[in-house]
Amino acid sequence: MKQKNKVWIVIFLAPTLVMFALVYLGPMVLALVSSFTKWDGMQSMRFIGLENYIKIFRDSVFHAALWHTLFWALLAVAVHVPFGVLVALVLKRKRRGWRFTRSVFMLPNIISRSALALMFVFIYKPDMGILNMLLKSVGLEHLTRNWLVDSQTAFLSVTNIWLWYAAVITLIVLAELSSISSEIEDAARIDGATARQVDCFIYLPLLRRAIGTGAIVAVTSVFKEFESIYMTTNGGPGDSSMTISVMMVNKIIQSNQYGYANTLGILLLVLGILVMLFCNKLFRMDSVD
Amino acid sequence: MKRKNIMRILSLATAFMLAGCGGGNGKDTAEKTGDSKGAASESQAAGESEGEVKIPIIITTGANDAMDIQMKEVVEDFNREYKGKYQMEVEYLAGASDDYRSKLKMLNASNSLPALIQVGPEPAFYDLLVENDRLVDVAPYLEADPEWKGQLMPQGIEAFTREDGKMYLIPSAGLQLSGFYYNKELFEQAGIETFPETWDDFWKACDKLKEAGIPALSLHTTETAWCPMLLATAYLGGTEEGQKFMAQQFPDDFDTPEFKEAVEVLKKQFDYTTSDAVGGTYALAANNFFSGNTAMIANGPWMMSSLTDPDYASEGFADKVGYAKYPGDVMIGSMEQSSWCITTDHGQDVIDGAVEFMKFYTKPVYSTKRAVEAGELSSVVDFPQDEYDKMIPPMKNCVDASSDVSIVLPSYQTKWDPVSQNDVFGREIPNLVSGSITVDEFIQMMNEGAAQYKQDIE
Repeated sequence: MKQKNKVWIVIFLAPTLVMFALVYLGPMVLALVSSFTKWDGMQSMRFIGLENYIKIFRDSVFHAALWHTLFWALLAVAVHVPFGVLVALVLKRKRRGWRFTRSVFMLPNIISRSALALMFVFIYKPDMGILNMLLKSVGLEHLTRNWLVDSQTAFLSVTNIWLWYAAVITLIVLAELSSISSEIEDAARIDGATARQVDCFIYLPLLRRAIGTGAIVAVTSVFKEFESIYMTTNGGPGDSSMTISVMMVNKIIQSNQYGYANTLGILLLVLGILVMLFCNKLFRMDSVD
Repeated sequence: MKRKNIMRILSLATAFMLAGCGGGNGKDTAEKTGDSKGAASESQAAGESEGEVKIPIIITTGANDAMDIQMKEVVEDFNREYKGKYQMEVEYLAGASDDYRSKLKMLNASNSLPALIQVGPEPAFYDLLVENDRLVDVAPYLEADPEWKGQLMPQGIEAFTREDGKMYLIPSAGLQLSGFYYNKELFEQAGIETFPETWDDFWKACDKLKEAGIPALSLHTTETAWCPMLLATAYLGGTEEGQKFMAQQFPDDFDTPEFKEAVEVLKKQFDYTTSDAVGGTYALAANNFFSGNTAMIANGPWMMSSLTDPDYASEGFADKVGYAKYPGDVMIGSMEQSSWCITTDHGQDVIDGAVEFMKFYTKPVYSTKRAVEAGELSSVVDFPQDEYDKMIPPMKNCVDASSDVSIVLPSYQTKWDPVSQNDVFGREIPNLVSGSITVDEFIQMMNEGAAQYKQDIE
């Protein structure tokens, strides 16, 4: 019987493993190999050892890109995820208008990130943009600026494009909340717990793994975030909004440095794995309740 | 009618271009590319292959470029005439030249470039394609067809023929020279009677426009800052040293007094522009000019088609517009910018079809049309007087100016390395304009970009 099960396991897993190997593993191995080479995408690769890695760690653009990428990861865990959880907890209460709120909150999810970024380009426009017009209308004209081109505000302006759209986190948490028995909350209420206390001391601990999953989703999502920067600032002005993924694409499109770009890709991959391990540890994903 | 003058400017243009552009990086690729003479003769025999051969090409639609509009017409005519044998398979790209170049680089990664491409404004990418046998040597095809060769600019043939006799860029029949479009009505409002001919007068005119509450210049900073860079590099035409600087292919030292002055000019322009120029796109800058918000825009005659297009400008707008040389009797143009290459990513039948198409494209009837509609002036194509009489005022100005210009500079896009152009222009001009970095720091970054490019290709 056991032997028969093994065969079925192999049969069911094989298509996934083959596709994974072709679509992900193959390119990853190619990226890893080419990261030790000088490669322009046309001529054959020339092995240069760790030169790309040494060059990257001396590259001031990479320093800026790394800092911005890590800062985004931090914001994802510290702001994006908590906001998504908060919305889920509010929606769970099913107060008046909760269906409408849920639909509106999910809407940006069906808009492509490029279109969303383009919308923000118009919101941030220096002369006709909604933001500056709003500031002018409330007497804060001194605060108006060219948001995406001012090196003081460019990065935060781009961050704002994704930071508050936490619909995926909300969905993950809502799904987990629906699996928690209402009897637990009822019991707590009978004991005199307030709604806030129920959320903080009952739901949040029970949601630990869902929040951990959300954090991993959010962090990996910002690591590969590309469109919102490419469509707005392309990493500029200077390097003020550069991230590793934008730097990687620019190295290919602008100067055909495939080897160097793949080195950046590998570093991003390593960074992603480290963050995942950290989240696993932080949210004790492997432990049993 | 203006043939003599046109010949004169084209000779001048060639003098500058020969200095660096034609041979790319000059590396000998004879061993790699093999003998395409044989290919040419073989291809003629194989020309009668069965079935319709599809020839992929990308045409941009985003900038309403007169050359793209004309190309679309030529493609339709070609497909009609060669029905059953060849068919141009067009992918219309809703973007401008910058998007086109990015798209080519992405397609290049998967060895699926279109059969016909334009890579003139990307000299580094062009060199890379040549080094890797990705472009067809067209010299044997030209030698085999003297009639076709006679329809192309002789200066182009001379400039694009490499030391080993090979040629990867097919010269166009003419050359487009960029200058200044200006709104005569706004000039009048500011009390300016004629377009300034010296730089001092130019800045005075800008001041007058500013005093009248009119932003003088349409500018932008994305897409290698095309419009402001045209003006800044035109300034270099004022001195012999500046002209020599512009003739260099991939200069590695931008720290020269001439270039420093050009960067000062680049920065100064933004005192006379709209508030959306920094961070803005070319389309936005052009729109500011078409809608009468700004008085001037630096660009080439390919923009003429938009002046009479109701989607871009109001009716009668073209009559209000004049076209002039840059101050100091300078215009800018490079033959590479409108030249085509045939790629080796497809079979011999597609290459033959692409050659056939280029012969069709450079037929005198189309070259004349391009001269009239897109200002691609030529020493090998007649320019009928009655066509001149029918032209819109700015196009007449363009023909007159191009026929009587003293200095023709090549476009910076065909001369400078991609790192300086994309990384420094693309991202540092806003910092330069806002004062976050100084002119010297900007130049330092250009030098670092050039050094990095050299290091990258080693």
